[in-house]
Amino acid sequence: MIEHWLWRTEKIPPAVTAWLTGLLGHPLLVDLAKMAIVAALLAGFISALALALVWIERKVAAHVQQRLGPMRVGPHGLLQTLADGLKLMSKENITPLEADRFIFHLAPLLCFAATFVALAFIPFAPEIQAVNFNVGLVFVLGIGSVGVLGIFAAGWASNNKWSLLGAMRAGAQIISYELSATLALISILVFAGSLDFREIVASQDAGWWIWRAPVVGFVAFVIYGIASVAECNRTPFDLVEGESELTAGFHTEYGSIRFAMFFLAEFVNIFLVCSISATVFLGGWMPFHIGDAAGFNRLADLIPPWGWFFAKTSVLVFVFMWVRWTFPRLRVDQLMNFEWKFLLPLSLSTLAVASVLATAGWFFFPG
Amino acid sequence: MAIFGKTATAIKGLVGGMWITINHYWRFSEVITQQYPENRATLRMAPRFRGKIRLLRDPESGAHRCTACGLCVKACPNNSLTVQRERDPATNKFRLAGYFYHFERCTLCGLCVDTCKFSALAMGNDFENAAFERGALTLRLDTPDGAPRPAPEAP
Repeated sequence: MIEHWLWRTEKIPPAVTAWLTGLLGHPLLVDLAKMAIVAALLAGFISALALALVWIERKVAAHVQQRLGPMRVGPHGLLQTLADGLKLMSKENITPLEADRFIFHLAPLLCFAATFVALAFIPFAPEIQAVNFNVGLVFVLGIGSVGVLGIFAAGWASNNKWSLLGAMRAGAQIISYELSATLALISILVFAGSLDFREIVASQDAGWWIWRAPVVGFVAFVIYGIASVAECNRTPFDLVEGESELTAGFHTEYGSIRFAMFFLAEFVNIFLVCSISATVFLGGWMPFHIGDAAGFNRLADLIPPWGWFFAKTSVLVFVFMWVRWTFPRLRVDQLMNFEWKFLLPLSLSTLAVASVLATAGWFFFPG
Repeated sequence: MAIFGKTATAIKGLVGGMWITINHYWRFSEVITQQYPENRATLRMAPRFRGKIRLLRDPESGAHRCTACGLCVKACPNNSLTVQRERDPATNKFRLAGYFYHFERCTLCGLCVDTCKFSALAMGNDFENAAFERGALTLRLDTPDGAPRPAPEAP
């Protein structure tokens, strides 16, 4: 194990606390300073993440279609999203005349706040986690539903029939697919035995649940992947903003910075579901270790834990984008049929099998 | 139990689709986007692009194939072509004396190329058509080096 603080991230929070105590003295002041630092770091991280994800999405889309994508602003178009963001911020904020003004202005904030808060529970590395909460996973799943509320509020308050139809579709779709997503996560929770993200990661010391839970781990991983694509309202489940039918769905009437907030929330949401998937199924920040192969394990430890976390999450994000630019959009009835007649029975039976396996101890390396 | 067969077919189809797109993704050398002002020297043009018309030459003799018959002038809906001809003193046949192209009136419809019986005309690839004055758009095509040049003497 490398002793540098970049690898041993659990040393960082005590060191920061000690430094702040020396600087400020009173424990209340120290706590307030820590809150401010963490909030600023998280906000900065989310902004940078959204800009990067938009650029990556455009590049992946372009190369899937054998194009180049943005190339002009900065090297390989790296600053394109920054320029687009600045443009959006400098545009006029238009509120439709008949709109419900308060809800109309609140909706983008709801969407954005939901993803912002949920990201605070993800452990990026040992002890690098804004909030440590013993039912973190349930809380994140609950907070995710506040995003739906934002979408629905946007569609309702816009006073536009296309917005309302898009919001209705979003509501129906996310409520349906949340069932499968949650059941798939629960199938792993019965193995991990905890709802705390930290405990879930710690339980994967011997191996990742995707392969340690025989077959059901992989099936649950795929189910969660499909359901989370639907929860992010991305193709092939992007009926919410089906351009040919609904112009832009719930954010038809939004422009400038409010539209940017929806857009930002959408992209951070992708990162959020991928990081949950990486944490629960792929071991979070745990490096890939093979039993007693000390040489290989030492090699894997050369990559810091946050490197492992971001590598796993990035691979999942790439798969999300790959799926988006491959498949066509489903029809509304196909969407509902798929969830209620196929995915939900499958995830329920996965949960049943997983419970039997977990109680009988029939999985690899039982503790 | 048809559901299992359907599921297997669906998975096969979805994975096949993703296999196709990832294979396109990795073909970085076959990207079709062209970064135009920078790559002007190596620009790839579609062979059937319709740019300014050009006069073709006989590859053996190097002379213009145009016989100055004037069919293209009759075919042109905008009267954007003018052909001047003269008699060859030796053979007493008509020959081309001046081929003028009023590009400011041309719609690039290609009817002149379609009607030419001697394959003496073709649509070119030149698409940079902007000019600062109208006069620069009246061109003479039967120049010695083949490059069109502004023709203030055009009738």
